[in-house]
Amino acid sequence: MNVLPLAFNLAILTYFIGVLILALPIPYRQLKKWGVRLMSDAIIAAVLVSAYSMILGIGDLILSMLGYSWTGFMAWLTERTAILVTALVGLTYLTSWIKSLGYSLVLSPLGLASTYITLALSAIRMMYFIASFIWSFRGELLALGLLLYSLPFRVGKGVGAFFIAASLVLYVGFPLMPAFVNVFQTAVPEPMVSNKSFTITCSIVDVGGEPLPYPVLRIYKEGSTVPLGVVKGDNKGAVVLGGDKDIIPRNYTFDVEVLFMGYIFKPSPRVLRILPNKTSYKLGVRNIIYQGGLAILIPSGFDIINIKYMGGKLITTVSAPHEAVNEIRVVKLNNVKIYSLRINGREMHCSWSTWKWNGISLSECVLNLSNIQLSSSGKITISVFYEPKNYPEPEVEERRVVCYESLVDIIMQYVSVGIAYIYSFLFLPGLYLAALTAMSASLARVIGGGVKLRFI
Amino acid sequence: MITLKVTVVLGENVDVSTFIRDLTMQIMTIAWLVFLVSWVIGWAIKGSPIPIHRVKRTGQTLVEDAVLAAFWLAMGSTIFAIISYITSSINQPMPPPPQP
Repeated sequence: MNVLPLAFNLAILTYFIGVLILALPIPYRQLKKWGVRLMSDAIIAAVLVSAYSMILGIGDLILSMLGYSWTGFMAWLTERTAILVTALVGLTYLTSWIKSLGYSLVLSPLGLASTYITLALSAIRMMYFIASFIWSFRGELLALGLLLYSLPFRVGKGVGAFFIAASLVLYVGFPLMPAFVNVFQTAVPEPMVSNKSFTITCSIVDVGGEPLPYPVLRIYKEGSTVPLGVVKGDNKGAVVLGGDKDIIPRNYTFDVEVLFMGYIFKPSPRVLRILPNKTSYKLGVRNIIYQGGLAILIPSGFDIINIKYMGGKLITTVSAPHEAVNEIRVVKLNNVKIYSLRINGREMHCSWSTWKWNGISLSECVLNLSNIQLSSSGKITISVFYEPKNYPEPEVEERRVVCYESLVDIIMQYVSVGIAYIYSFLFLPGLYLAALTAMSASLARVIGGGVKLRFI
Repeated sequence: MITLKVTVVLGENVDVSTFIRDLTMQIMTIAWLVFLVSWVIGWAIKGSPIPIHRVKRTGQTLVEDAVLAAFWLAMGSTIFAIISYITSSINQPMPPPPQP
């Protein structure tokens, strides 16, 4: 490097200027002292310039003695950047998700969290820049410091000493940053990337365990009469809650109702307890037997003895324990054609009343059992021969379940994550950097003016 | 009469190190001359027939400073050579740079 011979020559020049001042025939004490001061500066500068590679080596020596390395530090920085980027991605996802739910009003705390995380990311970027600069150019920084230090008349002594000190202190200090931050930071909260809530699947089945297609689940907060949400199932009878669409807290209890073929049923279990480990629930509707667009509605007083699902034929045997309940309803899609409807082998003639429910045309027949002669065992066998049809999707407008408590929880969690990140990614490294700068300044004072040599 | 000529040529191929070395040589020469002048003036003041003690003391100081300056002037090159020698002899070979 050409800077070092130049600095050495400058030191020699300073020395001879000092000697010249000392030799001047002017009997002024202060002037002579300046001469001596210049000579001592020159000697110290020459020592430092000669010890250039030794100063560089000291940094590596201290680092290896402490057991830290730049490789580890760079890996630590990369890991932290990855954590922050993940958090930011998660936050962006959450923001867009809440926007899609129509709760844009509650987004301002998330904006705050996003600002915090972006700030922490900028801090990391700055740290990366400074660290890379020190790592790549510390030799040049040291040489420049030595050159400034050697300039005659103490022109650049202070700043030169600071450069020399910074090249050493920052080189040793940066790899120690992870240790410092780890001592003072609490556990860094893990960013939540995917869903804030979770997914549960409810299978809606009839009394025989067969799925009810396109059921509509109405969900109430426990004890409330105002529905929290209305969710439609698929053609296999599965209603999916949570995921991207609903915000349901864990350990929560809902009341549920099933809407099917224009009727509201209370399923079993009636109350849905959301347990942390359970993701699928079976809701049985006890009062309905369904197959291919036709349903037999059995009142609660009846015991169902036997059900046969046979494609175009549906046979069920029930027993009536008391005579108070004497009605059984058969509900079908309007386009389902009935060939025969028999009770205990006797052909029944129905008067079908039709109505429309959520875009589905339905017909209903009420079978009055009081006119029917029961067998000795009291059993009633209903058999229906018909042409099965697929049940269409009802035109129900869904209202997804959003529990405010849970939403606020999620938002506050993100805000606290943002604050934790500010502390651990911006405040602690910033404090450490300030401490390093202070240390550099102190060392610079030692190098730049602490030692005095006496020649006269 | 002594004529001092300091020439600075800032041409296209000026080497700063060479320039500083030349400057150092010239300053060294000047310093030797200044030493002689100081020494002479010092002795002249000290030996002058002025019965004032402070004047004689000033002459003495000038002579002492001049002699010290001459000593450090003579030792200058040696001091820097010694510094170079000592630091290079205790220098360790530079370790390989760390890989990020």
